[in-house]
Amino acid sequence: MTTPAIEVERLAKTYRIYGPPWHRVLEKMPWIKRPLHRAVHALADITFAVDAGQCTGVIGRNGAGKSTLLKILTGTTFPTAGRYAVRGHVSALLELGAGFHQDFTGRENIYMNAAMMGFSRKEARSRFQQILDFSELHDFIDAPVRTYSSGMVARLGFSVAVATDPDVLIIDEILGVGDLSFQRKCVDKIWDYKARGKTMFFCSHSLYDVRQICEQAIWLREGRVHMMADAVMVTNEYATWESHLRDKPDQSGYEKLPAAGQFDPHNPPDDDQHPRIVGAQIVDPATGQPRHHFAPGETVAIRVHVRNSRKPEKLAMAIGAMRSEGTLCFAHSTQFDGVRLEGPEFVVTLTLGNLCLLSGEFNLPVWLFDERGVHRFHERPVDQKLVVQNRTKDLGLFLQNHQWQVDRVPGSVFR
Amino acid sequence: MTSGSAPFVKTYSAETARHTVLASLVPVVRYPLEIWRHRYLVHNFFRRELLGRFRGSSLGLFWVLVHPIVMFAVYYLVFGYLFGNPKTGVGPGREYALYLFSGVIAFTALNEGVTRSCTCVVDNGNLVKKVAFPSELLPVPLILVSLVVYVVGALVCLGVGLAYGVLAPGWSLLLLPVVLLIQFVMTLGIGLFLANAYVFARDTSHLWSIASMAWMFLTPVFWFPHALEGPIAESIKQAFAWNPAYPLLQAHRIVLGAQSVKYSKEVDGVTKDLTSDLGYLGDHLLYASLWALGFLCLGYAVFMSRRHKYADLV
Repeated sequence: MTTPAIEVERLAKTYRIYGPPWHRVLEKMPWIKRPLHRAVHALADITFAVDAGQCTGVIGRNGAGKSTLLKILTGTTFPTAGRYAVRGHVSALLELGAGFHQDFTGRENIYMNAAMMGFSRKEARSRFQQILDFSELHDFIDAPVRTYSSGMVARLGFSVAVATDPDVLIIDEILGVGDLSFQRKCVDKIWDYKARGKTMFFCSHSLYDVRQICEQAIWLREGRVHMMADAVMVTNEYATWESHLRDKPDQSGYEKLPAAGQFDPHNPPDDDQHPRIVGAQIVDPATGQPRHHFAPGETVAIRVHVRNSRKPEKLAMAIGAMRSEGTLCFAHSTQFDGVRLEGPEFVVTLTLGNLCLLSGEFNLPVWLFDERGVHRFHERPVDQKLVVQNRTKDLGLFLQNHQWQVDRVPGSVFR
Repeated sequence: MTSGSAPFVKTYSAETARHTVLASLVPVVRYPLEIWRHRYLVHNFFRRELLGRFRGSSLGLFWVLVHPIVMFAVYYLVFGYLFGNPKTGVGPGREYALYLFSGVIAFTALNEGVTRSCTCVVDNGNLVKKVAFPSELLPVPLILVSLVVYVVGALVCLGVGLAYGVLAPGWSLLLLPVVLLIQFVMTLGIGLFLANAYVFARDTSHLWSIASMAWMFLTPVFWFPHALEGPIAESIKQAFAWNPAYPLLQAHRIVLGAQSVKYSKEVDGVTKDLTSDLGYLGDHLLYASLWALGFLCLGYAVFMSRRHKYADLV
């Protein structure tokens, strides 16, 4: 058995919130019996281990302790109780460009950041070109960072951070930086780390990313490990739990809105650089005509028209059905089913035979991915909602294939 | 667990970690080594500090030179022609202007270094919070910059002093690096101490600006220790022994080639010679370095014993 790369044992972190600053000193005085602070338990009694080469996702709502845990493992803050061990070179992508000086050029900031990560002058010199090439900021490298767009700062930050080639990579929600092509480079880089057997510890609000990239996941709830298991299982449980909490159904799934200047899969630029869903409709497979009222047991076809980028990408597509209150009833993906999507322009048809859904209005989201199913090129719902109307009086979400049987119990005393 | 021997293993246990001031005192011997090991980082911060200050100005680094030259010119005008009489040699003259100038640049360097160090942990909050890196190095480049500014001032001082024949630097000038080292260590010690305090109470910087002003007036920057005349002059002379800046300042002046300061004053129509000796360099160096080491140990131990809390407070 190998030693775990990350080991955490009964870890706890309590923040003390004081009113006026002098209370901190006053509290130490022997005659003060009552504590003068309010204790906030960010993490309470966390124990887990991550094997080397594994990718672990951390999910949970805001304030569940995700960032605190990541900061402790990175070494910027320290736990109040418990112990941890991290084996291997650690690199943390907590906040990109955190150490940049606005008035200095990109070049100067690369050297500065490299020094902060413990590089010597020689190492920094030898990696400079690699960092610059990765960031693709050749034309701007001698301009002050103050003149950069936020996307450019993030690109530079990411490029420096991944130049270390760490054994353990700790990432906090940063996969959505820069424009489309840079986002893909980030994803490729993460995939490359994974392929080379690096340990990754990854915190994200995107359940989809966690499921695609990670083997296992930790669900933190109020500073405790609520669940730790296989990534698919944990994300499913979490999604169910969260949909109960949600006040309003959220049509877009669990994604946050991307910051300005970043690539937004809900609204990608309409040019020949980006693969795009041109049209998506529900049709009756018998007539080929659009139709969106169906009954259980009928066959439904969803037709999606895709225009690839000028340099055709290998693509993957997923189509799901989400009931009006936000429950994802199903989602099928060409990647899971081993269907290849190639070519400059094509129409994909998903046929749903013997429709199992019961009465309800269903939003049908369509996702267009890269071939690995990680990077989202475009995401949009089918033009019209699928409306299902029962002919029977069955209740619930879907029509389960079922059968009843009644057997009399022989010799019963109750006649 | 066999984690101790494997490379790049980072372990931390809240139960065994010791955060007392005394436990943090011992590693002070490793501090110079730590600075040396991170010299590239220090170098980069130094550059950032020095160039960042003048980035965007057209004269750039030249400002470092302009400032002391203009300052001396003003002193010379005020004390040579307004308060003193260059013809009779009575009252403060250009010698006094030089005396004052040498004291001001040395004390300003100390004050600047401490003032900038005081806020360094909070100013670099995003680094302390987001990047795991040794925050005890943060004051080092700031103090180095204050020393560079001092050295430029000292060169101006030397140039003017040689031109007037007031300063006669000898071999002792070779000891300037030693004096600078002592000043560096003393500034670092006080800076670390205040940087720690500033994290917990932001009043510290205001307190320091008042305290440093008082300290400056209580140190022979403007006046001569041997020309004291007030009713408590004797006890004040005794108190010099306990002023850490006194031996440092005098050492600076002696190294720059001043042995004594000529000063005369008219009392009841009689010109009184108040020329005073600056003391022995050896004594000053000894006392200054003892103070410096004391400050460093105190500042370092306090800083390191509380460092684990900084990320949560800045």
